[in-house]
Amino acid sequence: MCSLLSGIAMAHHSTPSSQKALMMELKSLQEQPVEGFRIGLVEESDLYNWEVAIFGPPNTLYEGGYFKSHIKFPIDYPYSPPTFRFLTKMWHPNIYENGDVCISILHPPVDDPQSGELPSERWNPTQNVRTILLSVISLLNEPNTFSPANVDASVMFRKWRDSKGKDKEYAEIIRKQVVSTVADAERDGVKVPTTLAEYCVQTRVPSQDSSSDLLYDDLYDDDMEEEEEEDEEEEESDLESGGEAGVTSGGEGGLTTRCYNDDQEDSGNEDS
Amino acid sequence: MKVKIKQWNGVASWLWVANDENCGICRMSFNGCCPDCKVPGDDCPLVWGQCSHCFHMHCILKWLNSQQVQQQCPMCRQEWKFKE
Repeated sequence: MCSLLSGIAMAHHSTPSSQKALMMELKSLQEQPVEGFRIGLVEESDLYNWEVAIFGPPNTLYEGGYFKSHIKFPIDYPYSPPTFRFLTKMWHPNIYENGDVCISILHPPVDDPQSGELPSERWNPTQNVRTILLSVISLLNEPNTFSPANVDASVMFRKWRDSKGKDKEYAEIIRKQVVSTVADAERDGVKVPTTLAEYCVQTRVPSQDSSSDLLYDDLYDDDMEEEEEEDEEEEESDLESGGEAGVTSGGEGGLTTRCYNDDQEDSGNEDS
Repeated sequence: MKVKIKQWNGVASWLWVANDENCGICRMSFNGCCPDCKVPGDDCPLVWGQCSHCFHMHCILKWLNSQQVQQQCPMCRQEWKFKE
């Protein structure tokens, strides 16, 4: 890994920037996963190609599904957006025949009145893999029928939605696709979560930035009697870090732990 | 007892006072530098917009210069104006 890094760093001036950003994101996503996703690299040596497995959210048409996809990052990431492509066959208004996902946050903010997308809904460098994953997972169940990538799927989806599920064609196609993904999951040795409790990963929130920790450790070493105080402080620090994540990147930190946090907050209120 | 000081080295620490820990663009610590620089400090300063969001100067300039359309803060998407 090290030799690879230095090699690329020397090759081009702008390369290390995306390399660093991607490494940090990968690490953060592995430490604090997004619910319903498994993330890895397609090839160990290539940080610009990620493999993502998406679990269908429980209580939706996609429940039990195991959908594989690739995210490809450009060399000038995060100044330009990555592409997101499903490898699993998807029947969805906003997914092209070839699996490419069409959402506005993956489009660069050029002026394009034809698209019907405002520049403000598009990519900017504070977007990240976490916000993309959350967009994709919410897109599954809430397609945007205003600019469909798959017109037939869009028409079928609207029939299903407008008939309140009486017109079953759309739902049946998706359930069929979900069933066909079971074999993929087995082949990969993955157990797909089907209940909310399994689906919601409880995350331990590490502090966001290890380099400034070092600094603080030096300054406040005396106060850090970590082992004794750790349990008491755990809840507090979880809340704090959640808040910070919200400030830096638009609140997705809160989303990743929502299922559990809601419960904790509720019970806390009852106690007091 | 008398102590004679033959030599001393002054050591100081500094921090940027920002309302956040990391630059939202490059995701590196504000107390470090942007990925294109080697040494933190005055050569890789922070800048604020009127919207109060803060970035490494090099990062926000790189973004603004790449935009043909409106120049917006990447955080809040308001029009970007440097804070005086």
